[in-house]
Amino acid sequence: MKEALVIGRPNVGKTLFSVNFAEFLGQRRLEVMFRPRDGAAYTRIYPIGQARADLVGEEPHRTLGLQSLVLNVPHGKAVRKVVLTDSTGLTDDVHPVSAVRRAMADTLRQVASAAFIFHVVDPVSPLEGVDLDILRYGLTQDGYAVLANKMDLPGRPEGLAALARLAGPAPVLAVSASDRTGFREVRAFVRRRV
Amino acid sequence: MTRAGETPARPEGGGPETPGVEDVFGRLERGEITPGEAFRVFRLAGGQAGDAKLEMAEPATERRLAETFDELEFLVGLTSVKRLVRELHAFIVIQRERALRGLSAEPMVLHMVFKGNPGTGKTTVARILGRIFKATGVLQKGHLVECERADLVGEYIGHTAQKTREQVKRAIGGILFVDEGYSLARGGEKDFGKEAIDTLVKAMEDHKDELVLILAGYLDEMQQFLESNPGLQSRFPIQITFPDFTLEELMEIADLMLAKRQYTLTVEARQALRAKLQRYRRFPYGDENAGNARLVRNIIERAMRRQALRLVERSSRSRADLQTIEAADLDGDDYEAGRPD
Repeated sequence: MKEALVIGRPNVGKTLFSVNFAEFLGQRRLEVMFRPRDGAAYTRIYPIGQARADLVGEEPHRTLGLQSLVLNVPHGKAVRKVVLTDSTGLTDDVHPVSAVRRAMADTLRQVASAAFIFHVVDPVSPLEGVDLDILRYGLTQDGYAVLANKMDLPGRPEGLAALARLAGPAPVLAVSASDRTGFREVRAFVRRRV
Repeated sequence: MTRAGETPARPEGGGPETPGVEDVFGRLERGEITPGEAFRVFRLAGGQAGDAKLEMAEPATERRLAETFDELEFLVGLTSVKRLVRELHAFIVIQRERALRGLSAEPMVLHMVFKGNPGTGKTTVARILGRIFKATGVLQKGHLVECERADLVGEYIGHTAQKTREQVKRAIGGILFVDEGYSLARGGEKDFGKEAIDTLVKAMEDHKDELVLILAGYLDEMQQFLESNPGLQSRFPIQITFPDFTLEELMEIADLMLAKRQYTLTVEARQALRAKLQRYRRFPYGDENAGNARLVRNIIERAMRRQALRLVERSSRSRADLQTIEAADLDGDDYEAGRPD
């Protein structure tokens, strides 16, 4: 099964995107596998609304560690399964909390093995710091795409053009995780590559 | 595994400045490096050790770009045009690199005016540019939408803006190529052409990152058109002149076309073709397209038809016969054949 990794800064909407995208693909229940560093991985089953309420939060680093869910991506008449792994927000600086640093290291480990990398950004301001480093790395990878999230909010459409110019050949997909717009393009991106 | 405090082990083949990828996670976890630095190590390690992986990743676009540049090089003549296209490509690449490295980058305004007679390669070069812009990420699709006055100008008030916007919409993500652009200014103040120009100018602003507009047309007419609309001149920073082909270049084009179609000329036929092209260049019958590639194509296609007529009446034909064009096939007046299509 191919893995899609969702990465980005804290609070750009990675988890909300993951949950709502799963719902967009027709999932009403989410089987989320948590993979804590110390201890065995465990799975919890959430009704979709519950997943949103429990997993998504406004405080940074709500997601602490890798959370994977299995997506059913329609592919012709068949359905292909893709693991969507949500990850901890990455910061510009060294984070003071060791648990957060450890979660970031886990994210980086996953980068190497993921078939797709969805780099979630908020296009309201130009990319800088860790986002630029992710982009430069992503430009060398085939399954890399920038998800310009929060398109429902003011200022984003203006920032999108500058982002697309900067990203060059890397695909930039404009989405709104909360309004669920742009998901068809994301599905098409995955479908072409599974 | 390295114990904390020890110098991290370097992977074989890694440069002296590149810590091993394995240890990156540990250093990130211990707070010795930032996530951004970890990605930098990844990228460098990928460049050194994982060339195969990189080749798989980069490549489709790189290959397409290389093919497109080859195609450009294969075009006969057009030396200055080719140089300009290469300059443009280099400019785009460097501006992007500057932006990535946090330097100020010039906004890229890529609207252009192509000046030259019909058949001098304007559409062909526009198509190639579309592909280069796509490969470099300037345009999402890079397709070419060709249109002319009739596609843009309407018949009643409000019709023009609607028609023009439709063409713009089709071209989003690619190039809108307006042939005989000067004709939009024909007909004076009351003509709807002016409305089309205004709508195009607005579209250039509204979709400045999604659309490249190319206005093409005869040298003199385009010159006049731009001079009479001073606002336009500055909106088209790139102006390319397509010179007429020389006689030698036209012959080279003929050779390429024939080779592609698997025909050959006899020595006499070659002389006849040269004489014919020379004659048309000198006495262009008041037509501007005498020095162009389309004329060559029309002459050759006509010769192919005449050859077919000559052969079909014979009882037996050799393979060589089927390939050979003789001087007699080039006889006759081609003026009609030389008209632009």
